[in-house]
Amino acid sequence: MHDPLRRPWTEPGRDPELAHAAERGDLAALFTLLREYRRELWRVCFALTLDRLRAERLFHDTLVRAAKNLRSVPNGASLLPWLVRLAAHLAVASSRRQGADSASDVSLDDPVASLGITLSETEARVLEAFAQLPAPDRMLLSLASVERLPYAELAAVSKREGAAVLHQLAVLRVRLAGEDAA
Amino acid sequence: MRHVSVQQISAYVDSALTGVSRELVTRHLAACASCRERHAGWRKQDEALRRVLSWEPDERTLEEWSSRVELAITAERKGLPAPEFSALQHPVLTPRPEPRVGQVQEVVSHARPQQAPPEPPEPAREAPGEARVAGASAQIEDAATALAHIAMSVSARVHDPGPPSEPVPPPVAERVRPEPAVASAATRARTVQPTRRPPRRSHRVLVACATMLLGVIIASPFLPEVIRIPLPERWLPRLPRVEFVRQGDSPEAHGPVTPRDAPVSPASRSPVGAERVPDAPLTAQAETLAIAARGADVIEPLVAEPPMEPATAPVPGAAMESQQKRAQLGSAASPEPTGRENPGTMVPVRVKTTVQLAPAARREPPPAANARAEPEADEAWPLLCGEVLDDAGAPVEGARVVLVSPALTVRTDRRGRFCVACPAGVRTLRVEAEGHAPASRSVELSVGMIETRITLAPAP
Repeated sequence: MHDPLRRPWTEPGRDPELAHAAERGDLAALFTLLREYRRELWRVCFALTLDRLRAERLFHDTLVRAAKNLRSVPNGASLLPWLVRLAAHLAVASSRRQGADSASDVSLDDPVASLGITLSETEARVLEAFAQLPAPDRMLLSLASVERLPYAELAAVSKREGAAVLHQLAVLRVRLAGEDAA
Repeated sequence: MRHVSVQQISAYVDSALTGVSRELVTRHLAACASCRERHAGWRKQDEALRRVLSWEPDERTLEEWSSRVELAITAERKGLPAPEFSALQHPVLTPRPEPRVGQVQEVVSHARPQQAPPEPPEPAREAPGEARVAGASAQIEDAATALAHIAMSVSARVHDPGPPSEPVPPPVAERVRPEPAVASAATRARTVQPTRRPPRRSHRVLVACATMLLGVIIASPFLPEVIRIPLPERWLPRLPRVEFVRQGDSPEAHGPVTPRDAPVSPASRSPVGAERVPDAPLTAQAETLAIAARGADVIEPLVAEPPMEPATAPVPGAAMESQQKRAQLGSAASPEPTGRENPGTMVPVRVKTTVQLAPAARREPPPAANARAEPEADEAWPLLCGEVLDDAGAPVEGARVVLVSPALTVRTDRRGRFCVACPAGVRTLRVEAEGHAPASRSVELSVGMIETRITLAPAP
């Protein structure tokens, strides 16, 4: 179930005000804005990279790039969906620069070793299949499964239609389960 | 049996179905084993993803990351080179505080022994050129202690859930709060050299001042020699007002030069309407005197002015001065020259004198019947001078002497003297003075100067 106390990702809150002040050179407003969503951004970055070090780097690069391009944020909109899309874009670009295949640009051993957790066989298989997904699909699935965003917010964050989000999630879950091969 | 679609099951897993749709899927899952198995499998996938992907760093690590980002942003805005990105060696990652009993216990038990990862694997994963943060051992110990606190708090929360709490328990947060300054300072010391900032600012100020000084020196030849500095009104010297009257203007145009009816204060030493007359050039005066001595017609008469103070005669008055000089020379009772009494500022002006010479012939006075109101301009008017005294024989200063025809008004000076040029004939004088009864006198003027004495009786 979705957490009713969680603030919707599409709710702008003070973001437009802080973004406007940051564009005028207010560094305090900029830093406040960037600190607001660092936890959510980290989780998305980790879902995109499945590696602590790369996630940390992606987290850093996303926030630095966001500080430069605040003008791209739609007026009156929340910053978090834009940050998440920016992180996904940077993750794809980084993987392309490294020459890795976008479909399998992560190593399974990294998240397990870096986090220091032990996975069951099912979890290992799921994670392996998850690592094979493209970065945008990983982001979508992590937003649905980990962040538990409703479909309306998923559509707003991923810039897709609601029906397309529903269909894509079903396809991704089928792939994770290995049912598509079957 | 008609199965539900994978989209419906996926939406059911996400709790996105409501109402009739949810009821239908629920009933179908209860009846269909394959769909129920698929639904269970997908839920396990979600749980696995949630367990692996919901790890997040502790507050201190997040603070260090944020500080590093802010440092990079600030350096870029100031045009400084961006600090080298260096990953934290041992960030403390904690699971996201979801109220899941079994999962939390397992996570914590697995996380504790992993807080001292071996050193050798780390450099292999790190990108070349990344610096290591100092104090790694201290961080490991702190992280272990922090995780122990987290485990204790989480286990307490598991047994007694209570309201949702913040991700980092207060004791850990309070304990680690002073440290981010140290760790972040160490990080900054490794990545950026901020010590240059104050000197650069002072250097910039010095350079700016030197540039301004150089600009002033270079521009000094082009600066105006005279720089106007506005002074307060009371600082400015009060100079007397001087008016220049053109020769030949009508008496009325002279303004203050010929105030016929202007009141004069008794204390005033200057005669009525007399401007502070500039001294005519000596040569002109000498010439005028010489001409007057020959008895030639000199200059057309202008407004009468007391003759006794040539220094205060009006400007058009080279004529007046000549008249005055002539009056002085021709008058038997010419008073002694008084000299300059008015201490006013004398402004020398250029006096142009027009002299017309004519034979020294005695002019016949015009017949009374044919007396003209206004003689021609080229005829010399006789002078009517007089003295106004009170009943005690003292001179009356400031008395008004009004000539009826032509309409002329003069004031007596401090000696009670007056002198007015008027056409020849019988002229009526009316003398008025404050505190005295007015008096009238008829005088017959022919040529030359006529002297009269008027005694005023006290006012009734």
